[in-house]
Amino acid sequence: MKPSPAPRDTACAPRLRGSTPPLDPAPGSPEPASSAERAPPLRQVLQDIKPRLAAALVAPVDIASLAAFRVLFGVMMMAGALRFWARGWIADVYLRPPFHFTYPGFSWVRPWPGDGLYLHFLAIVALSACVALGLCYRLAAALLFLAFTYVELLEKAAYLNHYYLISVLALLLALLPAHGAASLDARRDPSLRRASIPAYQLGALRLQVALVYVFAGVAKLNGDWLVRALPLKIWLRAHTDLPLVGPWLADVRVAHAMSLAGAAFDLTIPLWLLWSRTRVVALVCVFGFHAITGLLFPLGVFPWIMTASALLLLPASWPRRLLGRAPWRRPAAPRARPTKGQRLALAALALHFTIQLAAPLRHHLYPGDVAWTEEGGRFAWRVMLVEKVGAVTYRVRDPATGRRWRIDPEDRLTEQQAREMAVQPDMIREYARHLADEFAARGVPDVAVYADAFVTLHGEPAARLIDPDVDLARVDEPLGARPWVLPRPR
Amino acid sequence: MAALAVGLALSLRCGAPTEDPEAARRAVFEHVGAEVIKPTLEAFVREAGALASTTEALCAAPDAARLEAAQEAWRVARAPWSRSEAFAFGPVKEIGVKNGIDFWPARPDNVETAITLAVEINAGTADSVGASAKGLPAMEYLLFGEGYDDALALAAFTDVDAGAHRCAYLTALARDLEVRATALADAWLGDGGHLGALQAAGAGSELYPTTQDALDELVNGIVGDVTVMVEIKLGKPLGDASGGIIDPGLVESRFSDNALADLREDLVGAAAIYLGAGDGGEGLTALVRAVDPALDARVRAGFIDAAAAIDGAPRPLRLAIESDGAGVTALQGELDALRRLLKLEVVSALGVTLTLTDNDGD
Repeated sequence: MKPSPAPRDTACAPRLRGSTPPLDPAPGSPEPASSAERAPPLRQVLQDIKPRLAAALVAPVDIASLAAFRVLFGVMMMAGALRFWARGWIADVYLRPPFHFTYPGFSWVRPWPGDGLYLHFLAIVALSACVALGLCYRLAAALLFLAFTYVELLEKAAYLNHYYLISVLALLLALLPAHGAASLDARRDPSLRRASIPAYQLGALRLQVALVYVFAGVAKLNGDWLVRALPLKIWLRAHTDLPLVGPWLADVRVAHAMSLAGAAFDLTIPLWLLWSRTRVVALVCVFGFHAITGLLFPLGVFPWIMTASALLLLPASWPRRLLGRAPWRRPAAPRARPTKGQRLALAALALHFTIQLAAPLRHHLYPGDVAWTEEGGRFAWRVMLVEKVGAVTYRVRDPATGRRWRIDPEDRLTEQQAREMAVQPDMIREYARHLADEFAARGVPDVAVYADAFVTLHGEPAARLIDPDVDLARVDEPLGARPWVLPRPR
Repeated sequence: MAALAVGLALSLRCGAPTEDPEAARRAVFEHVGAEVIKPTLEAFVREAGALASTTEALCAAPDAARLEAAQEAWRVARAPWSRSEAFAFGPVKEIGVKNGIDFWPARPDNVETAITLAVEINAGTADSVGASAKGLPAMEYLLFGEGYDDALALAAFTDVDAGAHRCAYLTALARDLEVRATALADAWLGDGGHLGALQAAGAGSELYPTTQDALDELVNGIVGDVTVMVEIKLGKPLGDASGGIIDPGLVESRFSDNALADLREDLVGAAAIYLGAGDGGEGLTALVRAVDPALDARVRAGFIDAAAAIDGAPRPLRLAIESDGAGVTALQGELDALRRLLKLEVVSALGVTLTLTDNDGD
């Protein structure tokens, strides 16, 4: 597509390129015969925007930022997998538990037998290294996505927002030519080398990161967080032993201030990072915010992942500046039109981001407070939002004989499983079904399983989460609301 | 950015905190250590020694009065041990004395076998037998017997052929209990003991680098104590784990019918850590009240209700679980309500970590 010639008289030039007539006809010019003869302004505007947008999406941008993120992501994944192994969590989370909570449709995903899962983690480490080095990158990134996501699917109790983010980022990276620079692949095969990528490719990662921040901020727009400073008020009290700042953390005014600041940070930090005037201060805030949250809360690699991800919102050439390399220059190529492959990629990204936009908002389809019901709570970037503690006791009854059992799942689950299950209705139901299956296997079929589940949210008096009269062994996981989840008391 | 700046400014304008939460926590640790843990352990050592003396007196000249004195000494020694279950962490696990002191339910067959096999009874006898043949439950069996008849229990000690041997075994167990009680107390109260570490939490303590660590330990201690009451001491005899098959043989202290007294002492131990004891200090209540006075009031009421439920429970528990299952279940429910208060609300209010893994969050 050729660039349009610059209009000679800019004062009279149409505001948008193309055949748009001037919005304000010059005095004396003939009146349009009728509105039907004029192109509808909105339609025309859209028609004009489309090629400009298409051109902008495929406009070249520096690959440096993407390549740097690839290296950082690979290194962090490598370190994260080794850390997980070193802490004994492979066995604790995946191998020792005889029972695993699974995601709907993925109950068939099971840990490898024997030492298979250790080999699997070794593979994750190796694949992460390949991603960082840009070695066999496309294959390595795709396999890393699959390998990591497989691990996440093994145990629902181990769900973490940042694990989900890692899977999403790994998927996006696998589709991007992040090995076009600073990679062994590019060194071995010069045809892979590139100085630029289409803007939509970097934009996809940027949008993904921005969505995480913004939805994390949107989730904080509620009375508990903004008005009552909960749960920060509770969490900060547990850190009064910190040097220097410790005594202040018990002060509720600090909790209120940090709640407001946290919400404002999440909601707006992508903008401040993108805007050149605020970029430096925003970057300092990113480092500070994630350092503080990493210090106060057990977030593992989350602060590192988010800090690295936030760098994507900086100008694409930031690594060149940091390393003192020659500045990137935009290729003097004519404005491009998306190729067929790029159109396909854009369509796939549109689908991806439709899901990414819908998933965090789906909880509005369910009645009640998502913080209490957890319906629509996963895959929604609801990060560090609730302080919930629960306790569940199951009552099992054999209708045929009248025999009854009282089962404390804490005796049968790992602490992590018991803790997570106690506050999440779908997991409470899933374990009830498991108990029914277990009894059936022991020759006691068709037992009824009831749950005495109590939860305290944000320090409120504990209340029942599940209707104690509903036989959970006989309810299915619905697509809609779960009628057996009791509302949050007010 | 503006809101962020406002937030930071607000936090800077907060000025100095009005009270030092670390000092408040340390005051609780100091008080609980000095007024609850220390006197409880000292009482246990003292009463274990007294029990040993009374059993020796019994064995020297067995009669009904001395048997009754020994039985009473057993009950008195049992009380501080039951109270100490509210702080069943640290030494009791590290030096592994718990099973040697209180393995239950008692297994009479094992005790009888141990007596039969013990050719010569001496100070090392207790060490050579398994946990099910020694400690307070085994002594209870010997002192009270299975027949709920003191005359029968006394007859076993006065038996010409085996009475002395049996009584010597009892005495060996009593002295072993005293040794274990002393070891436990030393591990807590001696130089470099656990109590010092607890009281120095957040101030150079290696075991408790932060006051939060010590707070976690104390709260988990009383939560665990009440959980054992609900699930083990009441739940198991009620058949919670066996399809509702009631089993009086799983009642704690079933030979002495001391089960409800044991429960009450368990509760007293937990209450002492929460409320404090003696004069001039408070337990966890001070910390809870500081953040949620209403919750503190509910917890206090919860302890009172639980104590009333124990006092009003049908007794003896051994018989009541069969004759008045509903009454015992009601007692279990009352204790469970207290457990929920502690496990959910107090834990949440104090930011306590419920002995969970150190896995990441969010």
